[in-house]
Amino acid sequence: MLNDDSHSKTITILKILLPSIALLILSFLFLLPDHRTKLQAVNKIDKSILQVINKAGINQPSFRGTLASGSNLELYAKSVLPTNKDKSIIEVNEITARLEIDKKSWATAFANKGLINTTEKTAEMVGSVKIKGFKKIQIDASDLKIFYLRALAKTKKPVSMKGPFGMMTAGSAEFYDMNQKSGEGYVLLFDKGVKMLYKLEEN
Amino acid sequence: MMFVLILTDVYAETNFKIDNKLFNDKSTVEANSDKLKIESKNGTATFSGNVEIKLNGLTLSAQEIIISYYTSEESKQEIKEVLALKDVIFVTSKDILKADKALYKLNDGTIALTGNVSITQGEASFSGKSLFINLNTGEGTISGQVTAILGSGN
Repeated sequence: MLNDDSHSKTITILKILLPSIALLILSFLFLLPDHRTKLQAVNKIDKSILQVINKAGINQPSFRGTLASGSNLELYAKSVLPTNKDKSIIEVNEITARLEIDKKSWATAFANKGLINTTEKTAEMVGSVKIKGFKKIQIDASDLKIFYLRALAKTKKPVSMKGPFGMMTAGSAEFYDMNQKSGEGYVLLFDKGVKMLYKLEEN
Repeated sequence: MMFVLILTDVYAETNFKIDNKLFNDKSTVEANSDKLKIESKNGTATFSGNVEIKLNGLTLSAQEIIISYYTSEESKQEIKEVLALKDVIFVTSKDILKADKALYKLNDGTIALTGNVSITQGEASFSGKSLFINLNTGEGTISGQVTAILGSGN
């Protein structure tokens, strides 16, 4: 269901939303062991998404396509609703995204509600953010804000992650990708109390 | 009744046995800290602020613990070394080790503790400038202005 009748507005929304979701997924993929695959994906993902959207002329809040990295991305949102007069803030409900780097490497993300600010180029997920990945990784957060231009994703509230490796909780988390500016890699920062249980036998 | 013997030797090295089973056991590690920062460029994961790491009966606490890792040819991330800084304390069921700094090298299975090193084993305690532990053999050598206090009774 698409409540805004503006085709260009939808494209704008998707331009922000898709890279944001991709960044959301990728931010947590960095915690997985296959370092090489993750870097290949993130280096190309944002530009490739925008190219695919422009060529396809997408006019619905759903997307399925192959990215330049060779990864497949599927995205669906139940509704997209502008919330202010100039329509720069858009509410997106029940977002589901799936990223497949290859048949064995994938992640899905779900959020109850998202607020996309097209002026600030931010995406804020609230309510319940759940990410499931291959190798049985699962991440739960009650909020997640993505600053697309700064390649920054952060939570203000507790985040938890569990999988065969064990589990981890933190009062807040922050991810920033340094590749875009200086090629310096990425930084993951967990704050406000970190607890980790790591199973040595499984890793 | 109390008996205390204090031995001090500036140039001495003293050898003793450390319970190394705890380091070699494959089970669950529990880590608690105020912060954790992972930096891909440096290949480091830094726990900071009231850090406590537990493995079976072993507890390592410090103000900062830096774990250095590398990516192997099979794209797996392997831990290279663990550096603990400030108020470093190892506590096992038998021993209490304290130092300013500890460096655990996983490749050769050694731990080097430096700065205000002390070991308490029951009623005996040793102190010195540095302590080198071979985890493969469980043998430890303390050196540099070694003081040994051997007490019993009371």
